[in-house]
Amino acid sequence: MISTFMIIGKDDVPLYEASFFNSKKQKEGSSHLSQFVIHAALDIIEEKVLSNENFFLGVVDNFNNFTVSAFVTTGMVKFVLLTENKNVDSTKAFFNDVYELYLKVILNPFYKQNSPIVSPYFDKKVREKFSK
Amino acid sequence: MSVSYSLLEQIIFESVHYVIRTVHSQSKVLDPEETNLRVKIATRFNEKEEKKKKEKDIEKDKEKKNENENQKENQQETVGNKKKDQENVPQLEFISSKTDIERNIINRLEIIGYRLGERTAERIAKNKPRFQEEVEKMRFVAKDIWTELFGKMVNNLRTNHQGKWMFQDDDFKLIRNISFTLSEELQNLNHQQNTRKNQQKQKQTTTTTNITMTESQKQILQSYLYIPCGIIRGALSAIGVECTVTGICEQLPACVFTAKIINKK
Repeated sequence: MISTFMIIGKDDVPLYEASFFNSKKQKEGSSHLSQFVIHAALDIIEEKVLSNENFFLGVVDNFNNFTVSAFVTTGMVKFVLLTENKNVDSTKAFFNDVYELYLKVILNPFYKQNSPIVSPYFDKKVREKFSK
Repeated sequence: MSVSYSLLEQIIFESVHYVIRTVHSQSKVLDPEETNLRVKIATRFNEKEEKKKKEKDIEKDKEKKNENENQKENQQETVGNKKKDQENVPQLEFISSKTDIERNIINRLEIIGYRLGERTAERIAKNKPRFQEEVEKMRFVAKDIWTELFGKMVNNLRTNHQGKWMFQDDDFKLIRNISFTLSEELQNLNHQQNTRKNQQKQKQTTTTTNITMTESQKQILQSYLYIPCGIIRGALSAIGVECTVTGICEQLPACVFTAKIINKK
């Protein structure tokens, strides 16, 4: 099972990417595919943002057996999750947790907004949250 | 939260004082074509800046306690103050011409405010629904960000419906306690009028006396307004509204910030 989680900033600049794999065979070929699917979903996300005033947008797009779910903040920072299962509730909790972590990253005065998030602590915490 | 307000104020005051000092010291060093006269004026200005800072601190203590003594002193000092005003006149040109260094520093102050506004907006907007309309976004800045940073809301929010928004704060926290020694006589005039009014009342409430200022004082006060301008710009940019913000202070505690929206076509 492949899952990719990306944080995309205000001007469609990717800020963070994390991929979760269950087996090594899948790792080689699929990383580009997941990025491509997420990129394609951005347009749909932008459309949904105009109509939906909640942060959590739910399932936004489907591609083959992938489902893309999204969470967009006030500052148009998009958290996008690409999965192969269809649990909606767990993704909502995951997004909320990651949002809290993201806010902590922002509060760091040395972090310039809309620049890549390179903190290993953030990375570790996101992976922990995802495995739950 | 009250602790964080005073820290914020302190940081801003320190940075602006540092800026004022570096502007005048740097322009002495880096401009070799300055005449001796200008150098003399600059040194005199630096001394007066330091005197003003000391006197600001002393004034706050003296004002409430020694009313009568101040009146007597100022009658003698009015003559001295007039002389100081005359000396200040040639300095007006020195202050108002914006050199590259000054512009650079103003830019840096504004960026400090910008980053602060961005982060604060992102953090506060956590539990609120996303804004669809421009009005809501402006109201968000005027109410939520102002209460978060300054403890009160903007008093008046106006627009000309053509992309220009004005935030008017009648008692702006960051410049509330600034006093100028040159207008000491004015302050004491205001103070006398207020004591006569309040003699019947038992308690004397804090007087938000609106003091009119000379041009040079407005120039100095302008430097305190760059950070709030940046805060507004940052907050709006985080929400998705690109604009330019300018701040004006006509009477001492009241100031108006104007945001002009940049339309991208």
